[in-house]
Amino acid sequence: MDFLEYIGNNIDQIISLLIEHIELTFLSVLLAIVIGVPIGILISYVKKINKPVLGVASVIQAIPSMALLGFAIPFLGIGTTPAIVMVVLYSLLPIIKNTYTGISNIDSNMIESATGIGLTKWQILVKIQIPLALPVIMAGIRISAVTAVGLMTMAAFIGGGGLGYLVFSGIRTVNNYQILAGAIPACLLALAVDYIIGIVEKLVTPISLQKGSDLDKKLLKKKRFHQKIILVVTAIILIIIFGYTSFSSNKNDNAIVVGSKDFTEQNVLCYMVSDAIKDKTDYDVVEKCNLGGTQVCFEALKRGDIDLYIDYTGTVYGDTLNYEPITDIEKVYNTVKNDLNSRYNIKVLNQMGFNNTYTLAVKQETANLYNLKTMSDLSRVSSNLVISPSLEFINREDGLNRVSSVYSYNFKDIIGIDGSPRYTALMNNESDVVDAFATDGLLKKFNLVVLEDDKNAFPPYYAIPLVRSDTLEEYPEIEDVLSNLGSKLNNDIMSELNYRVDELGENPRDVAREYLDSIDF
Amino acid sequence: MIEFKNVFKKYKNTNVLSNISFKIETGNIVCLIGESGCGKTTTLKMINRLINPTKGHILIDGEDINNKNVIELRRNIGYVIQQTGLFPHLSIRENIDLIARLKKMPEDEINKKTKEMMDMVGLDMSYLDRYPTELSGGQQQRVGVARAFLTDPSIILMDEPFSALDPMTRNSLQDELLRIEEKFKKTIVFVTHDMDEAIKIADKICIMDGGHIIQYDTPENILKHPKNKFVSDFVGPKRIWTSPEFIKVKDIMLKNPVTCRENLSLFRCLTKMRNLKVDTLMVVDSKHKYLGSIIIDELSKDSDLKKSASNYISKNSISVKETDSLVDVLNVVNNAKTTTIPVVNSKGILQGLITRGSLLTSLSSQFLEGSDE
Repeated sequence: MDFLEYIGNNIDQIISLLIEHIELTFLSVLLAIVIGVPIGILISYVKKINKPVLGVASVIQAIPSMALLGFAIPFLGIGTTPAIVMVVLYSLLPIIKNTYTGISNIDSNMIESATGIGLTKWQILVKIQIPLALPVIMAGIRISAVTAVGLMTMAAFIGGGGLGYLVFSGIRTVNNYQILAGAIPACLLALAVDYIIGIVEKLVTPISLQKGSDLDKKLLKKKRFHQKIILVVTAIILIIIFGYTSFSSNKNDNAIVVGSKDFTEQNVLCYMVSDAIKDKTDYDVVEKCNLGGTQVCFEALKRGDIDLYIDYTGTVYGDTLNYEPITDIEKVYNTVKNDLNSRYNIKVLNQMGFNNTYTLAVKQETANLYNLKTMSDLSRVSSNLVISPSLEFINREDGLNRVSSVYSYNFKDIIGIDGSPRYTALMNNESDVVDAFATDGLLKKFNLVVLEDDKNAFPPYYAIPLVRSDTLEEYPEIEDVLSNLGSKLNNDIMSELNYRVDELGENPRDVAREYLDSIDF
Repeated sequence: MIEFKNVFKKYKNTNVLSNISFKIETGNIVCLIGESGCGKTTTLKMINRLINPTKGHILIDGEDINNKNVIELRRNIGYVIQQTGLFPHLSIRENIDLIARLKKMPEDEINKKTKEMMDMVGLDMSYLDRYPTELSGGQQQRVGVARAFLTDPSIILMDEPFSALDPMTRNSLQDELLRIEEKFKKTIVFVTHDMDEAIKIADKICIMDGGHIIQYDTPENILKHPKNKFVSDFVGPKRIWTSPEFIKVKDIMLKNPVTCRENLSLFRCLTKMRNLKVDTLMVVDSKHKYLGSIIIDELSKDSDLKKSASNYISKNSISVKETDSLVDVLNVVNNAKTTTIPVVNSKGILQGLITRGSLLTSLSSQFLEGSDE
């Protein structure tokens, strides 16, 4: 598929994400200004606290954004709120620092002169200090805003939307066009923001203090007039964007929110569940697909940011509930069902028809070279091979640890790579073995050999819908709809659907819709 | 009137000001002068409470300034400082009428006043829309003065306002300040480190050192009667010669000229002149009133030695007063072609005498090292 063709086909989505991105960035920077400028002013007056405040702001900036987001989920949930909070926190330092510098660098004689002729402290701040410091403050805001555009792509990590959605999905499905479709508008947006705030910066600099002020004054005034027009146009565009979205986004307050994790199968399931509910009931449904890992989705469910999502028995059993992994399908399901109900007030519906357990996969050549068919075969040669598992697989009790002990693996190296890039590493011969989900479409895309779990090392991973109890009470028909849908799915079907998205590049929403239509759901 | 009463200022353990007491009369220009760190600027800034005393009181027209609203106090005192007094982001107009606007003066009054002030400091109205950086140092300082005078305060504080300017500009601004002061009669407190400036503009000079007032007096008294070596060193031994009008007849005249009564015989007169080695004799009456002089060169050989002196008094009877200055004397000497001039008071009583010798001694002292008065 040609890049331009991709853009053409997805232009609506790209534009709506771009608008979302602009809104989020604008709000964040605005908040950062509202918080940061007063703090900057405060610490220029109360010198004692300037070091601690600047220190804290610097430390915040040093925290990796992923960590900050992960940390924020229990408090702020998922979606736009934590994304905005994160960007605000990162934007504070340049704004606070420049405000502080701008104000404290004003000649103290000038302040004394202002005091001496009878200005109050407030008048000195408003009439003298802020106007004189404004160019420096604006420079700080400019840095913050440009950084915020880039940082805001992280919002997609927790379902906050924005252009990062395209980047993250693109990385997961190894779709470079999609990555570019997110990255290029983000870059252009950053340049535009830089340009616009640059103009503001020039405009707030008094004519007398502008560099090269010996230039013709009339010329300068004419230039300022043009600059003002650009700003007015920008302001109008922003107002239109905000007006448009606040009109259109208010309709889904009372709806079932369906979430999903951030890989292909989950996305397909997200749209399929949502469409199935819409088809069979009168309920309103909102999709919040592609949220993040298990923890992100589960926290979102607990907080009520989403009402339901599909998880897997083994994941909940070993990961969320922290039990030792076992292979008994019934026991796992029952434990999960009872525990979630009693501990979190979350209802577990019937198991769906497919078991997306973990498996290990190698390239065709590797399989031929070492004659690999089962996981036991791999034991012989594991010390010659590098494995690049997903981070979740490394950390799970029933993941790499368990499979290594059951089959006595001793890999030459373990390189943790999250998501789809591990397949890229495999194809580039940087690793030899990857973990995979049994239904993963990328297995087909890259023509990989799946090793048979001949010693039953992996626990069952049957798909189960998790629904909040209050949601189920309010929308009781969900249970039947999902039970019905679950019976229509199995491993082969899921592999096929995943394959269509991952290799054929079809849209998960379309794939889900078409499948439902094909079985006359 | 501004009055300092036993004012002290301490920073940690350093006494910046120790027991300062003095009065500044309404309508006077008082210069505070001294070396860096002497406390002159601290003293000035106490008047508009930029600095508060550690101890003591400052009264304006009898009222303690601590009892006044500090913002009101400052808005009623003009303040001019060196260089940075103007706000670079405001136009000249905005700089000048800032306080008037904060005081909510009516718009047309502000405009009227602004025009008046620009005229007063000799700046064209077209400068109003320019910015401080577009003006020369002298013009900026004129704007500073205009700003200080706009709200018509009775007191103006000036903190080395002209010290960063070149001598020509400084001189002309000093002249203008004197001209403005003549018209508006403000009380001006003026900090400077330039003695010439202080002598030129001040009604009274306050010489400070180490937080003490060393001498507070008129320029003339400070020049002629320095209180101690510090003042005379500070003033400089030859400073008086830059202001010769401060050198008065009283300072250079011979206080006990040789005199005779009008009825003394000419013979006795000549004997007296020969004995005392003078060539002129002051003739006075019983009340010591000056009648004329007997000048040896003007007597002829056939003068009757037995006649009384009154018959031979020289008719050329010019005189000067004690309070006339050296400049006046030199003018008289130039015109009258004589170098022996009697000094009389308003009643004609003889006070002293200026001779060629006394003039020469006075005038030559400025060229002789270390020979101060």
